[in-house]
Amino acid sequence: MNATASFEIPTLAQLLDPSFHFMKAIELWHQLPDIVPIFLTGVVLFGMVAVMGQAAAVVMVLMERKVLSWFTQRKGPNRVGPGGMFQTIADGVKLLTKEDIMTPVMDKFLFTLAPAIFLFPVFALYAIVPFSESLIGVSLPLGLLVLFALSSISVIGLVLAGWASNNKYSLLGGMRSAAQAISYEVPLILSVIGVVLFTGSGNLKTIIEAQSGGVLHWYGIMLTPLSFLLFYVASIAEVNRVPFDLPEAESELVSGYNTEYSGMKFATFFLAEYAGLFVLSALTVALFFGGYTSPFGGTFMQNYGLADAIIQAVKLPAIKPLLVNGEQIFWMLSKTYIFIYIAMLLRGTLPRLKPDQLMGFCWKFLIPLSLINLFMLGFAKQFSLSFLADGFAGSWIYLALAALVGICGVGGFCHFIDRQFKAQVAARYHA
Amino acid sequence: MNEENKSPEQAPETEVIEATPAIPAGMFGALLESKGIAAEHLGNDAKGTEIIRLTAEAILKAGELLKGDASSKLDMLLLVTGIDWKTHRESVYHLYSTVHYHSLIIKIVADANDTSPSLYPVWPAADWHEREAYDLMGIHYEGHPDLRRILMPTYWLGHPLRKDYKEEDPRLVWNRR
Amino acid sequence: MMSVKELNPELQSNLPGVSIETGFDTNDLVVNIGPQHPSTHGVLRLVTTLNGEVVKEMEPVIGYLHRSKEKMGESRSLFQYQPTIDRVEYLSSFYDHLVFVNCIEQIADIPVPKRVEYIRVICLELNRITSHLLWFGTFLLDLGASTPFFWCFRDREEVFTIFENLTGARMMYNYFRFGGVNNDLPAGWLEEVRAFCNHFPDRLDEYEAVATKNPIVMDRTKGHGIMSKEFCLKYGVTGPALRATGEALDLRKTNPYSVYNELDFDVPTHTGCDTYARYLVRVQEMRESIKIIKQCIDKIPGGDGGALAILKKEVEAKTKEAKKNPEIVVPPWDKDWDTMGKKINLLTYKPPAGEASNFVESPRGVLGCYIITDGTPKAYRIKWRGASFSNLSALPELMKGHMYSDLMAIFGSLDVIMPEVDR
Repeated sequence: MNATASFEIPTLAQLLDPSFHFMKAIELWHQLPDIVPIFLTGVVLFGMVAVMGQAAAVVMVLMERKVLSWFTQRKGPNRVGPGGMFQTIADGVKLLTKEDIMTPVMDKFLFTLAPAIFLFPVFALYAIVPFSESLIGVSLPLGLLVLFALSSISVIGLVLAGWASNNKYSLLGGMRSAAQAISYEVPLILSVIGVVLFTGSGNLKTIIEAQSGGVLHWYGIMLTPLSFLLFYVASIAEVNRVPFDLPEAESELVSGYNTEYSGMKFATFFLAEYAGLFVLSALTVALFFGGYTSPFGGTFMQNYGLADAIIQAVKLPAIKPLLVNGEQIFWMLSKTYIFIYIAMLLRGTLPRLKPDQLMGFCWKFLIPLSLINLFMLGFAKQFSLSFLADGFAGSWIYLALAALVGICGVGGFCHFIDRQFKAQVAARYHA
Repeated sequence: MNEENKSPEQAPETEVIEATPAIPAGMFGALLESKGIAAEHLGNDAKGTEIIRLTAEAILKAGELLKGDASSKLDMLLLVTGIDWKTHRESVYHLYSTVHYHSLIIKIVADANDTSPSLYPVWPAADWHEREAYDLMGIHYEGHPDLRRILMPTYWLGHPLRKDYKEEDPRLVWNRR
Repeated sequence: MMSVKELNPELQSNLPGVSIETGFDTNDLVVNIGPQHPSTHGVLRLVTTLNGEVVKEMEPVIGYLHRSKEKMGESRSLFQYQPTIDRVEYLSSFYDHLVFVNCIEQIADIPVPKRVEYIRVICLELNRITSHLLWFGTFLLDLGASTPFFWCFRDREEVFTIFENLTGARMMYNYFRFGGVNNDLPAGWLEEVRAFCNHFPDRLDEYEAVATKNPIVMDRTKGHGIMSKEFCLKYGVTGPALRATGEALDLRKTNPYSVYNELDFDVPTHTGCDTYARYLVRVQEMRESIKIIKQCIDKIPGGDGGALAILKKEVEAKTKEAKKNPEIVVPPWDKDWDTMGKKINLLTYKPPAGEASNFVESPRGVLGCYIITDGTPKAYRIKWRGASFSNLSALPELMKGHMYSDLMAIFGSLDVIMPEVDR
């Protein structure tokens, strides 16, 4: 009511002056109840995530095609929109309007259900990904447990798809993906236990805040680099990407579990695969690379008073959380895309493994290695060698230990595998 | 072509057959003769490869000899084909030695029922080649383990490479006019 | 994939492939790979019985690409038949032309000038490189690496441009003629070839850096698909697959044709007998081909085509003048510099009756042609011997007991292409 009482009719000169309107807008902003700026901040932040996170698949598909085209000395998609920017959207429209083909011999109910079962757990995982300190769906005390629980569900979708298609290639693809996903869960979980051991919490936000001191405090670099490598390899296998893309091995199984899928159902699989890659890359960043904190610790906005300077310039104290969270989202997404980019480079570089090599690599190499790693981390924790507790010296001792055990253990192990392999070759030659 | 109908057996290789008495036995012919296997010497082809013609009875024995003998060692079968001379069919085997790098052509005339002995027992490589010759030329190889059509569909009628072949399978749509 | 019952009962009794009724075991999975499949390199059908992921039995079914090339040869004149030869083996069609043309040259006793032989050898060896490049790309694509495929195609396109400048076609050349070639080298063509030869080895190093020592490639190829020498002889397997057993059988060396006996090159062999050995042999062969081409460029009589054409014009002009004025000395024209040799009117050409068989070392193995002529413009009988035909016949025994994933690696290492199998 006060606002209306003090309302004055502006003169013509005031109406023509832009600064007058600006000042009026700021006045209006200050008169709003507190809940409105907070709500608007939330909308903006979620909008950013919706563009960069939820719709990441769209960005990633284009990115993948462009990156691979640079790799293979081509131009990549360059017809739809400037530089081919809208290619994925055009593809999406094409896929969504395509005929949905179902052969009469397939199990129609399961065939339709499978993409949904594959998609939902992956998208549910977005709930526990901390994009910034306030932009996190649910900050569960045992967020990691939810991560593993959800990521194991989606494989059921693949097996169902393979079975319901009534196609032998699909069946083989589904079976392969089941074996693969179950095997690679083990090193995935074992490698994260080290992080939990040091943080003492399964909450992703707590884990990130434990590493907020900058590069030297990131687990992936100083404390548990081996855990990071194991986690990354296992997560690439979890999302069925090259070199672990056996379930959809194009040259062997035509297209694996999604051979019979077309139109929107195929698009669902496609989307879910990329969403899975995004989520696991984001979790890699959250667990091992400081999540939403900058490489120099905290955020620039808070550390160097940038936020205050901007607020003073625009005279809007309410946008401080927007600035801080915005920067955090920037760090989170840029780190995530670095790991997505590495996954794409791997795809451009490596051939595909064989199923027996895949299982052998997991059970004979990754799992023993992650057990060794876990043992070393437990040792370091027990004797407080963590530099988080005792300064830098402890971490160097750990690194030296890790190098020693790594060289002896892993080297010996590789030697053992190599000898086995050579014996196999020799046996084949003589047979 | 008319000439061939009059004297078909001599037709296209007239010179070769007429000259038979004058042609001396080549290296492989001499080898076979020394072991008491009768072979008809047909001289050389245009490239200079020796050609001999063997009878159905002698072929397997001669094959073992040519493959095993240290001076010939014809251990690789390069190609098998059939030729339709209108009155009879003939199988042609091209052999090669991976030891001495020389080659030989063996010809065998199929009998009146288009039957010819298979060389599969001597050179297993003849498997697919003889199947092809059977498929396209209609020569039945006795002793072949698995004589089926290979290039044409299994339900095909006739043997397309024969000179008198006409494609008039009543089951095919374009022949039902 | 296909149920037996759905087929016409008339056809059911003699279905191609394994005897599905008798050999059927409820524990086995019969996968019908092809005829349309991303990595069967054409229309090959492999009826495979799998036990888990292990191949128990395999039966290749061929004939989907049968275009009756041999029958076509009997129904049209040799000259009319020649353009269709390209399609016998479209990845290295110069070789098809060479055997065909050589057969007629031997039957009719047509001399071939040296320059023609050198031009042919340059074309053949460049063609071997394009064929091996395609193999390199698709082999790694079968293993799951997509990048080398595009790299190889880039270089293939470069060679195709060189071929296009010479013959006017990128893949179906139809360039060789009886006793000659269709046209002389265009000006500057040899320089194009030399430029390619200079930068190609570096590219090859790059490709090898991606693949040769890659642990996954080595794991997937070493010790798999082992073919002994006896095994190769049993099935008539030739080419790089045979040379990977340590047997240096290369017809260019053992039975030299064309001018190969004047050239210095090695026959790459390996004693591994496995997929990896075949890979190494083929890569090394590309390097040897470059070596051969470089020598040919140096040795070719008459040198570059443009300069030779000017010289020829001068000689012709001088010869004309010499008719009027006998005092003028005509510079000598070497018949080795010619590219058509004996002049033949191809449209009415009738070779004498006779027969000839020729075998050359194509990128896939021994490629042969057996021709019987009867004095008419048509051939009485033409028989093609494709190396892939024999190589493919070894696949079922080779695959027994291997994993399903090994199928594409082993099949790819044989470098089978289907037009040559079905003809």
